[in-house]
Amino acid sequence: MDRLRIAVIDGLPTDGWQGPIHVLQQAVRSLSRSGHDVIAVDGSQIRPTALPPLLTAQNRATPTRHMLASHQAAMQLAEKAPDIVIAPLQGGLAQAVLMARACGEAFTRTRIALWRNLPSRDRLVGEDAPVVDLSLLVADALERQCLAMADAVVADGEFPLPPGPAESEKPLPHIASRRVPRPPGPPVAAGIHEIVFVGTFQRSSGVPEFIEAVERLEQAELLAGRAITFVGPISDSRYGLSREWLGQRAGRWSFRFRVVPEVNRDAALDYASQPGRLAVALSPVREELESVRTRCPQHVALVARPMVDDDLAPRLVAAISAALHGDAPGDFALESEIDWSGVVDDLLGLPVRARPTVTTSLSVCVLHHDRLALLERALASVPEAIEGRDVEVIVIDNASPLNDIRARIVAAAGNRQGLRVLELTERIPQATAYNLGLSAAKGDVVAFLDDDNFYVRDGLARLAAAASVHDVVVTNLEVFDGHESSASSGRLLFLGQAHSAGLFYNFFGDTAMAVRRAAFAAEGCFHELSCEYPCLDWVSLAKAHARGLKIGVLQWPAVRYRRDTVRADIQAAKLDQAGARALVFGAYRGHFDAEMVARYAQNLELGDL
Amino acid sequence: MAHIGYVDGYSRGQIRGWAIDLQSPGTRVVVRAEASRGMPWRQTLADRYRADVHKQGIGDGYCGFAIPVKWFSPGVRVRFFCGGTRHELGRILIGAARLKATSFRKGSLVLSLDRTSPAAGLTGWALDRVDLGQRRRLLLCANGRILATQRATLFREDSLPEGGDGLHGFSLPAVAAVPGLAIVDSATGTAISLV
Repeated sequence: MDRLRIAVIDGLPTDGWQGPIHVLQQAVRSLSRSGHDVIAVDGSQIRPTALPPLLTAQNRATPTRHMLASHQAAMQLAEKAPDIVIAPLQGGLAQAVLMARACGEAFTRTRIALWRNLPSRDRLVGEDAPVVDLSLLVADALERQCLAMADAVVADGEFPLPPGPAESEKPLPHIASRRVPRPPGPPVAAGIHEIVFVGTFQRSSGVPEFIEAVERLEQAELLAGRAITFVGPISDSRYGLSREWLGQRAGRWSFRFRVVPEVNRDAALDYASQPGRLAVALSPVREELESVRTRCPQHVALVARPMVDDDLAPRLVAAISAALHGDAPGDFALESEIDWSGVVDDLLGLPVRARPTVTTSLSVCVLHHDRLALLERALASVPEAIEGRDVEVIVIDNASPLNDIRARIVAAAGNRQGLRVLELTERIPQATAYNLGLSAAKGDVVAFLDDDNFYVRDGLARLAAAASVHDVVVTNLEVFDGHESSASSGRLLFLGQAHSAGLFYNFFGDTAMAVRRAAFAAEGCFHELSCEYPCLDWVSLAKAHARGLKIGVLQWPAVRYRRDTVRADIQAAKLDQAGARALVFGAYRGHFDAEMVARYAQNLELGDL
Repeated sequence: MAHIGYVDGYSRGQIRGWAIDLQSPGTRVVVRAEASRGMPWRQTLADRYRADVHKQGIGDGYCGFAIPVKWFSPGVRVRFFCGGTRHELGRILIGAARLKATSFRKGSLVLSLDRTSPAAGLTGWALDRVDLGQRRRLLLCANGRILATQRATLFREDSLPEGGDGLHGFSLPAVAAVPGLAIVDSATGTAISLV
C-alpha cells in the first residue's frame, strides 16, 4: 500500500474528568506502524493562532466546545490535504471538515470516515450525567450532519453498538472492522487486597451494578477482607449519585470502603495501578477502556452498557471472582485490536466525491435603506460574472428618503450591466422585501446581502458553487467593527442544519446566504408577518430546516459582516428574544428530537427540586 | 493557580464580570457568589465571550460570567470568588444606586451620565421632571457639529426614582474626546459639556 496521509481527529470531553479522552489512540499507533504519515489532531487542544476569535450565537465556550473544536480542526487540516480523515462520531468533530468538502472549499480528494462510538443523543437520553447546558444538543447536531456527509461509518466488528435514530435518516456504508490478536502483556502479580472502581461516580458509569456485584461477592464470602475504593469524579449534588447517596447505601456494609475524589484521569489510574489493587472499569466503547488495560496490570475492564445491560451485575461478579483467583482477564475485546490497515483498505475502495461547481445562473438581491456609501461598497464586491455567467444584481430600495434614488443607486453601482432597482415608496418588513427580490430574480440561485455587508474576494463564487448541492447555503461571517478596512473582530460560526440545538439559539446562519430559488420559494421563502419581527434569519432558516431543505455552511467566511454594537444595543427587535423563540418554535413545526429536548428540560428542572 | 478577574457591576438584571486562571487559560473558571445575611451561595461558569478582555491579550476571551441579580435580595452585599485559593474578584451591593454615574440638573432637565469615556460610548438617561412623558431628544455635538442624535427612550431602571416610567435611557455612539464635546437637549438648548 502507498504511504498515505491520514488525519485522526480525537479528544472528547468527558463527564467529570479533567481533560479529554482519546478513543483513537490505537488507530494512530497502528497506522503509524504501518508506515503512513499520521496527523493526530487533538480536538481539545488545537488553538490555531492565525484564526480570529471564534464566536457563536450562544457566545459561551462550554456548550459550543464541539463546534469550536470542529472548526479549528478543519482549519488546521485544510493545508495538509489528507487522503483520509478518521474521527469519532461522538462530538461530531469531523463536521467542519465534511462541510468544507460538501461545499467544495477543501478536502475535495479526501475520504472521511466516522468511528462509531456512542452518539451524544444516547448519552443525553439514556444516561444520568447532569446536563445543564446545550453541549450535547450541539454535539448531536454536529453528529447528525457527520452521518449525512461522511463516506462511511467504521464499526467495531466484534462489539457493534446498535444504530441510533440519526443513522436511520440516511444510512451510510458501514465498515465492520476486523480484530487481530495483540501480544500478551506481562504476567499479573498475585495478591489483591483492594478492589478499585475507576470512573465517574454516576449510574451510567455502572456504579450501582458494581455495588451490587460487590455485595454479592461479600455474601459469598469472596471479598475476604478486601477493601473497596471508588476513585474518580464524584459530585456533591443531591440530584444524583453522590457521597450522600453512597453514605446511605453503605449503611449495611461490613466491608471497608472509601472514596478517593479525583478528576485527573492519570492520577486515578496511578492509584488503581499500584500493586495489590484490582482496577474495575466499564464502558460500552472498548477504546475508552484502553487506558485501564494499559496502565493497570490487574484489571477487570468490561465492554458493557450500564443502565441497559440486564446481566451486568452477574458478569461483574464472575469477572472479579476470576481476577481474585488469579485468572488473566478473559475479555477478547482487550486481547485484540482493530485492524486499522484493513479499515484503510476498505476506505480506499470508496469513491472520491465530485467537487461542486457553479452550474446555474445567479442573482444577488441587495437590500438598501438610505446608506448609499455602504451600498456602493456592497455592490463593488459583487463580480460582474462568475465562471463566464453574468451575475444579475437587484437592489431593493426600502423607501430611502432621498430624491432620485434610482439614479443614485445606478451611480453607486458604477453603471454596471445587469442591475435592476426595485424602488419601494413605503417601507416594508425585511422579509417581505427579500421575498420581493426573490420573486423578481431571474437566476436559479439567488443570494441575499444587506447593504452594510460585502463579499470577500471569491465569496459569492463559493456560495454559488455550494448552492449547486444544497438548497440553502449560509456562510460563517467575518465580523468587523468600524471601517471596512478594520481587522477582523471575530469569525461567527454557524451549523446550518442546527437540528434540535437550533431551538435555543440561532446556530443556523445569517440572511447573507444563497438559495436555490425553486426549492426555497416552494417552501415558503423568508417567513413573512405583517410587521417586523426579531431574528428573521433564525426563523426563516428554522422553517427551511423543518421543511427538509438541505442547508450548507461555508467554513471560510464569504461575507464581511459589519457589527454595530451601539446600534444593535438599541434595536428593539434584538431584545425580543422571547418572541424570537416563539416564532422559531412555530417554524420548526415539531421537527426536532422531542425525546432529547424533553430529557434536557428534565435535567434543567432538577435545579428546582 | 493565578486567577485574575473583575466584577463589572450589573445591568439588565445580570451581574457581569470575568475571571480566568492565567496558568491554565483554556480551563473555564467557576465563580462563586456569596451573599451576606446568610443567603445561600451561588456559582456559575465563566465561559462567556468577552471581546474587551480578549483584546487585552488575556486567554481566548471566553472568560465572562453573568449571574441574575434576582438570585439575591435587595440590600445584600455579594462577594465573588474563584479558584481553590478563593481569589476575590470583587463585591457588589445589590439594589444600590448604579455606581459611576454623574448627574446634571439644569432647570427641570435631569441628565445622568454613566461615567465612561466618550471613546467607549455615552450611555445614561435624561428626563424632564416637569413633563415626564416628553422624551428628550439629545444631540451629541462638538464645536457646532452634530455628531449623533437620539431620543432618550431606552429602559433605565435607575431613572425610576425620578418618578417616570424608566423609559428615559440613551446610548450614543463612541466618539473621540475632542474639545467642545457636549450633549445638548434639543428642545431647550441646554448643553452639558463633556470635555
